[in-house]
Amino acid sequence: MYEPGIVVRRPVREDVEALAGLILRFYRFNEEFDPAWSLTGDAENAARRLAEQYVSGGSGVTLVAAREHALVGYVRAVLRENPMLASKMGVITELYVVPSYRRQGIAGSLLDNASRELAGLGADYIAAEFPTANYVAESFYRDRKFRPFLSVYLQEV
Amino acid sequence: MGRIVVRDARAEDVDVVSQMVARLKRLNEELDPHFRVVDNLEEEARRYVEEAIGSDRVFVLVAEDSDGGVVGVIIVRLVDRIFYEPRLKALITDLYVKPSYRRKRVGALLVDQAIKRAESLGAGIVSAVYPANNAIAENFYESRGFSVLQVERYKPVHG
Repeated sequence: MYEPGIVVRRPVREDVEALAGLILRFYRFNEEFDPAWSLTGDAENAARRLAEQYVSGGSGVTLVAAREHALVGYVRAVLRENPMLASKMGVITELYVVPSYRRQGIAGSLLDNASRELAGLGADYIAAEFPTANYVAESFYRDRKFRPFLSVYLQEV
Repeated sequence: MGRIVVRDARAEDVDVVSQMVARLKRLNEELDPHFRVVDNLEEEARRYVEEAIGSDRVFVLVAEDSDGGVVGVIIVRLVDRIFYEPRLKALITDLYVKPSYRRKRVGALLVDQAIKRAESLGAGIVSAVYPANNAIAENFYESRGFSVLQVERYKPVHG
């Protein structure tokens, strides 16, 4: 279990800068696994805009792991519906914990809390998206009994 | 993508090469918290690259695209294995290709050229060092015929 003093909560206005930093780190990490995840030259500003969007609420679920006023991780998830399918899917689109806070169960706690919120919004399943080559994420979700569900194939044009 | 050319790094490459070295170290940090980077990483990376380019025991090759942009780097240190034959080993300490240039064989080109250079300098063996849980590097080197030579174990010490 993670060290005392870390709480999982919704982000607030004061978290925007720190959350933007975490978002950028999440995308930079995934960029290493596939060229299709290459970031724009404006990634830092884009991360800030995303952070503001996440903090302002609206659709989707965003939770942060905070230690006092510092953020050490976050999760972003959305509810995805297809009118043809009977089930609603809660999809984890971003999950990140800073390296020095890994291996304490923080990511698992973020995932569990987000899953509960998604279930509360009507999700029947929880899915997670990440680059196929991100074996770190694959191992994380497999350890938590997630199974492969949807394949996305890609070709450069 | 255009044609990729591998050449020796020059003084004017220090900025872009040190940025790539810093990115490599940050990736290592993501893969294992025991590679936690220092606060002045960029500064240290710059100093490291400057020393490498100026050293006669290290060679630095860069991959350059058709627009003249540096898109990858390999840093190789020549090591005298005083107890073993062949004595001279070329140790690949850093290999990084910009993400948008991955899957285009730039890394393979850098390694192939580094091996040729190492051979011309008298090295009888080429090795590479990377974090144990970097599966991408492991697959990359395995597919190029590199095998495991030695293992480094670690244990944090709290004074």
